[in-house]
Amino acid sequence: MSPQSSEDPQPDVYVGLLFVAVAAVITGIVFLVLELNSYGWQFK
Amino acid sequence: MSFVGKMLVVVLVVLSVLFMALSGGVLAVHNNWRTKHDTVLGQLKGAQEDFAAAQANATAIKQTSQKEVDDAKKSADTANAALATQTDELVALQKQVNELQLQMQTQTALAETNSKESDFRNQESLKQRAANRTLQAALDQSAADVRQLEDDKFGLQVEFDKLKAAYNEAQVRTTYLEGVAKKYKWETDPHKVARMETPPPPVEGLVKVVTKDKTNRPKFVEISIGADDGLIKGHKIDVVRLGLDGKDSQYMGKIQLTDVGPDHAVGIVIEAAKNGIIEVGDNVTTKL
Repeated sequence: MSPQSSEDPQPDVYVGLLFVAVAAVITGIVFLVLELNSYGWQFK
Repeated sequence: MSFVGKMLVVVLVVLSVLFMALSGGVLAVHNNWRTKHDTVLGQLKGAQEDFAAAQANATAIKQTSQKEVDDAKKSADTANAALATQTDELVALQKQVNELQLQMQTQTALAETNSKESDFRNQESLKQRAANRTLQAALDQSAADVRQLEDDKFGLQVEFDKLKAAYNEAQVRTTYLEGVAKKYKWETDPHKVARMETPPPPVEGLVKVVTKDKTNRPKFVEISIGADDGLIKGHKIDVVRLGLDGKDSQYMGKIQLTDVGPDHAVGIVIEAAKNGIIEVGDNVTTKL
């Protein structure tokens, strides 16, 4: 973050893309949790 | 934001989306190997249980079969022994069959002989039946004759009864008449009467003995001829005295025989001459 700006800049499209990326990662984690749940969380 | 920061953001977004797509694909498409493992494990366990049960069943069946095999062997041994016995009996029965066949042939020959004899007897029976019919007809005729004869017999019996009653009556009368004849000393035997009526044969004899009564007259005279000369009781014989020295013969009387012997006879004097007396030596004759 640059110190020149005292105010938060206006969110642009990349911020949106970051949210999209966060949502996709969370969704992928949920899918993997469900997959591991089906195996009973046993890895051997 | 710098260009590199922007590019990293874009790359981060792209990688995040790819990560989400891959994890979703894995969740959606992947095969649940644990479920399949559990399913196969359960199937394996069931199969093992079925195998164990089948093995136990097979063992039981094997034992049962072994027992049955043992029993079958025992039965086979017993059957073999019985078969040997039966074979011996079969041989004996075969001998008996041969003997019986021989006897059957003999009996068959006898049966054929008997059959021929039976045919002969049948023919003879037919002839005999014909003869029996003839005899039956004769028997019927005889029965009719017998009935006729019985009727005649009954009529004759009635007539016989009448004759018997008449005979009895005649017998009574005969007895009465015989009594009367006996009372008067008459001969009642028809044969004797018939012979008395027969004239004596022409014979001659001599006076042998003279018996006199109380008045000194000859009563009984014994003569020298008898039954051998044909005389019988009742015959009348003349007594004569032949003339000597040229004199005539003299009639001395007549006697009737009362007792006749083979070579002599005795007679009673029934007629005496008035001029002479019968004496020993006079002649008797039936030729006068």
